[in-house]
Amino acid sequence: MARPEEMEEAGRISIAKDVVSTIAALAAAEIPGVFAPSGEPFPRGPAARRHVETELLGGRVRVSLRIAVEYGRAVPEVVQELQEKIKAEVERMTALPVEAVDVEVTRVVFSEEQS
Amino acid sequence: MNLLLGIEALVLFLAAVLAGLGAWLAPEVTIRTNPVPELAVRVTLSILAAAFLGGSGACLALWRQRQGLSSPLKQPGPRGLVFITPHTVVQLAVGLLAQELPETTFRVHLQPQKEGFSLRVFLRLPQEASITEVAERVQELLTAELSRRTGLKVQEVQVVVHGTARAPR
Repeated sequence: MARPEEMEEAGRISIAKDVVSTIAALAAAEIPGVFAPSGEPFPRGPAARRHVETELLGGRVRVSLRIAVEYGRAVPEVVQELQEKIKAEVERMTALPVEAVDVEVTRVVFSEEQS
Repeated sequence: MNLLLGIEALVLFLAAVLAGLGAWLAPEVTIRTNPVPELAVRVTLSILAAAFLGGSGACLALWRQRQGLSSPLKQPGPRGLVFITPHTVVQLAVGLLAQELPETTFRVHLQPQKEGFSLRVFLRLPQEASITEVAERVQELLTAELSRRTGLKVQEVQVVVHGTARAPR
């Protein structure tokens, strides 16, 4: 994986915020127990961007996302796994350093709600 | 809903200011050609101003309380901030209580605190239930499980038993 400075030698690379949001959403969809705030499975396509916001400040990324957590799971454990997964995936795919991944848990999803 | 409360507080405050100004200026008032004494006008408008001001204060207090209830509880996580909405915590508490006390009807209110939150649980217990035993079980369960499942500090769990219910036949 090329580092940012190596990329600059060959030319400028711009990464849209939506790309980072999509990567974060895909990572979120892979974490067990994480759902969209509506209670449905976390969407993988562009629809996921409704729940993910990305800020790019001085070449650093800050991702904020809203999720629901499956009932029975410990929120801190799920959130920690999610934060680490998103940070790792965004850094691996974009080479941009992730400053923080802020997570808002808006609700709990009970088993009978899951389709 | 919160916005409406804020607007109500503002309107009532403006009405209080107007009534206060009226009390201070004491305009001439006549009812069916009989002039009302200045003192009566001042007293009436002062009472109105105080009532409007009280109403405005009550709306403002309610508005602030609701703002607090709708804003998420915040704690630092390993890679960023973690926000948990009060609704999420209440859902967790309801899930736990439904498992622990399947024959009991209950309501859960959450009050955010400077650090963590406190809960008030309203229970309608079956007639044969021991109130102290159930209350202790509820307090222990919610304190332990909610702090484990949310990472937030459970400051207090108040149990209010507001009635008994017959077990279904």
